[in-house]
Amino acid sequence: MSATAETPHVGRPLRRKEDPRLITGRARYIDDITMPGTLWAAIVRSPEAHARIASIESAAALERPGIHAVYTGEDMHDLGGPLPMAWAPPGIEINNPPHWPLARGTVKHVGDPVAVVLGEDRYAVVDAAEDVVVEYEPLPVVTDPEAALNGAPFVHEELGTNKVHEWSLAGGDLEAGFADAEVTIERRVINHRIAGAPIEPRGVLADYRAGSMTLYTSTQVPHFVRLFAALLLGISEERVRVVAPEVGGGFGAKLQVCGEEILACWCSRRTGHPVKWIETRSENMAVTHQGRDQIAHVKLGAKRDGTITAYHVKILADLGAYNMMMTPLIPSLGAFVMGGCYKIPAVTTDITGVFTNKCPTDAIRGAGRPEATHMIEVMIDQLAAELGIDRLEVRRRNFIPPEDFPAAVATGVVYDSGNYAGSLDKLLTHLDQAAFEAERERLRAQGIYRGIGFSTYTEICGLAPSRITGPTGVGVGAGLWESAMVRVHNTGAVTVYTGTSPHGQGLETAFAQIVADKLGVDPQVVEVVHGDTAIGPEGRGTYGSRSLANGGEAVAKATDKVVLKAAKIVAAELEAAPEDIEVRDGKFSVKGSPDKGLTLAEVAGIAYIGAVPEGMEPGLEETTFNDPENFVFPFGAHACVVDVDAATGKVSVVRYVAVDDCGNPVNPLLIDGQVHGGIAFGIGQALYEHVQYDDEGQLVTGTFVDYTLPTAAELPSFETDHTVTPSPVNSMGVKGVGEAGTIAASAAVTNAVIDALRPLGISYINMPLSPMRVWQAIEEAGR
Amino acid sequence: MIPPEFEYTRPSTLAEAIEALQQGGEDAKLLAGGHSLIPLMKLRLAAPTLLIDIGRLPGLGGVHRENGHWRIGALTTHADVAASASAGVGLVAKVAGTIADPQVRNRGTIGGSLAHGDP
Repeated sequence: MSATAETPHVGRPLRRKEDPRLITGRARYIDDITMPGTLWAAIVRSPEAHARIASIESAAALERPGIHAVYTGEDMHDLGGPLPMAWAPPGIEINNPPHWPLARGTVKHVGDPVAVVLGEDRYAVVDAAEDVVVEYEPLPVVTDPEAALNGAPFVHEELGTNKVHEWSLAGGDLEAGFADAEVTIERRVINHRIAGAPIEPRGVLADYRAGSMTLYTSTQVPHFVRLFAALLLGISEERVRVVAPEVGGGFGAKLQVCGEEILACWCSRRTGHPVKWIETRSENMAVTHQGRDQIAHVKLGAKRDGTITAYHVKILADLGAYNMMMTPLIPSLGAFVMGGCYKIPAVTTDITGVFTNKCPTDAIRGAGRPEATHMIEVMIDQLAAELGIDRLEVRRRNFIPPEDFPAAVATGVVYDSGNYAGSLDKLLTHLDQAAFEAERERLRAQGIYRGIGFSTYTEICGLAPSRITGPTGVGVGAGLWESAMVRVHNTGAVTVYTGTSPHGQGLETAFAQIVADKLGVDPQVVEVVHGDTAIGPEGRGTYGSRSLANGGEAVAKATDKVVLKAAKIVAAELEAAPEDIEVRDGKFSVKGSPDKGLTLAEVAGIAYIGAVPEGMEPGLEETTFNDPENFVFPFGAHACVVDVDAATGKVSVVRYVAVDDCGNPVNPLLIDGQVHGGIAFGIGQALYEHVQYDDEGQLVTGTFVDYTLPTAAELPSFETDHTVTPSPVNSMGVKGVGEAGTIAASAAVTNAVIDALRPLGISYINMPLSPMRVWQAIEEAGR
Repeated sequence: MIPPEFEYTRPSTLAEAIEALQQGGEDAKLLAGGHSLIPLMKLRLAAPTLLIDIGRLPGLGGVHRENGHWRIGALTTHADVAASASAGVGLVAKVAGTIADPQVRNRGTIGGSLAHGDP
């Protein structure tokens, strides 16, 4: 069916175009790609958290059948430089010691790569890697960020400090705000370390031949990888092609320029063979960058009526052993929305980054914003309890009102649109307070403590605009526009090239819907192509909930240009003015005469085969680079109901209701999918997931037996609803939604657990709310 | 999973299995459900040179009533032990139903659990 004005594709829950190939096993991931003559790579990794490499003996490994080479960091001195810290807060000093694809002289965390073994068989190289004998001289280890900040041992001895950087964002008069306050609440809030844990671990296949490099890699950012591969390997950029085939989830863990990517390219050039490396789950847990790991001292000042006057957050961020692509920047992303959806006259965030002998941290779903939301939302509840005012009432008294939008907040950014009371009102229509209280009473008799928690959030996403993220702005130090190219073929079929790099979100479907409506065709004949630097324009990738608000808007703009040209062709054909041409019932026709019109296929026929009007170039294809004026700020209200078993400390999520507002919906099915996954991620952090190291820097949670991702068995059936407050930032009025669920959820769960535990004398507890931690808190409170 | 190299044999009688175990020496291991041994091999914490697959040997599975006692065969899966609740097996059946998830219960055996002390 073609689009008509009455039934547009945008806004409908179309099933995902991606799914048939995914659910029938026909999708092509890195590990499905084979090339003749390929050498497998196995990486010898440090079992020590901190050590000097005394010697590396590879003779025994080389003697094994089928083994071609063993390389160490000493072999790689022709590399153009260390791995990049590409995005960093500008204008500050950052300690950034070199980070190499293979360690040079010392190792800084368990899993640090020391050597690579290349051979003809995947099993053979792993066996041979065990025969590479590395002699380590252990050095003192530091894993606790507070200890690391206070002095030796140093992760990087030459720096004489473990401090990475200090960065602050302040707006409003903090001192005056606290002077005005009648109540001050202070808490130590911990956002512990978690993993992205995508279903598909990382993987690379590098093929260097005839002076050109092709790198297949499971990445969210093929264009960035191409840029840095070209720079580090000294290959001119046009001779480097990076392809992200099907990517089985990223969650930020594949927003990276990885050492293994550069290493595989280097090995392919060195040996003349394609080189393949597929990460094992054990490696993924140990060395793929992790997230969060912040200890914050949080201080909130308010009047007795609940009006917040000042908010100060001091964050100590454990960055692990090295700066990776954007490691020191991550906590800063939260600073811009530190005050949440509240009108707070003074907000200050002070961030200190510190090195430890652990896996580096970097972007993991939400990246800085889940931490920020968690802090303000648990603090609001703490404040309400202190004041004896209902926690939702405290929220309402401080919400930025709808009439204030676009709303400049103390942190310096301008929230695009919002109606926070509206989403909270809608949330409450799903909750029956009287029934809840009755059930709570009933369960109490069985030793079950039921609690309900809320999180009213907003976040900053749609990463752009370059005026803020670029070198002259305050953010990232890199312009973050997005590109699209729309090509109408001879037959009227359409290919859309996007610079974003989707990896499970369903953007092939969403973008096809946008294009189909504008061109009067079926979404099924709109193919969305992504993740290959050799086709389509330069792009910036998928992260920060940017793909629709930025990349989708680029697609919309490029399609508008196609429509404009098509209208001129049709106008000439029908002897009408171009501005009188509209797309209706699958045809380009003159307004008021829908019967006489041309289909897109007929227009394409004229553009490519027939004769275009005089003075017009043939063809029907347009490119756009979209750089929006602002970020977008999705928001919503979540509620979580938990049961705590007082005897065991076990927390069960009984109910989860989410009302999200991401502007105009393009595909409600995709939105629900993103919200569901995001909530699972946030519940996982609050209750189950925790990357843990022992004092020697050994990873304790190296498998899914120890790192407990929630499964369907742990989660309730989510209840979702929406409000719609369009964004004024883009033509479609859309906002990102990929991270929203994660950003909202951990606070809702934590507040629910605290609500449940209050009768037991517990008024605050930090995540992760494991049975042991909850049980211990109950025991301590009972003493 | 990339374990070290090993030999594999699947005897068809108990006698053949015992003989293979004797000949294989210290580094031979029995494979039944594989839910303890294979994770150890995956992490290279175990590196048996010979795996003797007893998973299809007759007579080693099942839950039977014998002289006023319950007899549970070593090859009985956790799922089958759990299902024996209907036959009147008490606490053991109830506990078996709480081990891991259905996939694990359908493969893992009570004999393997006891041999490995896991779970």
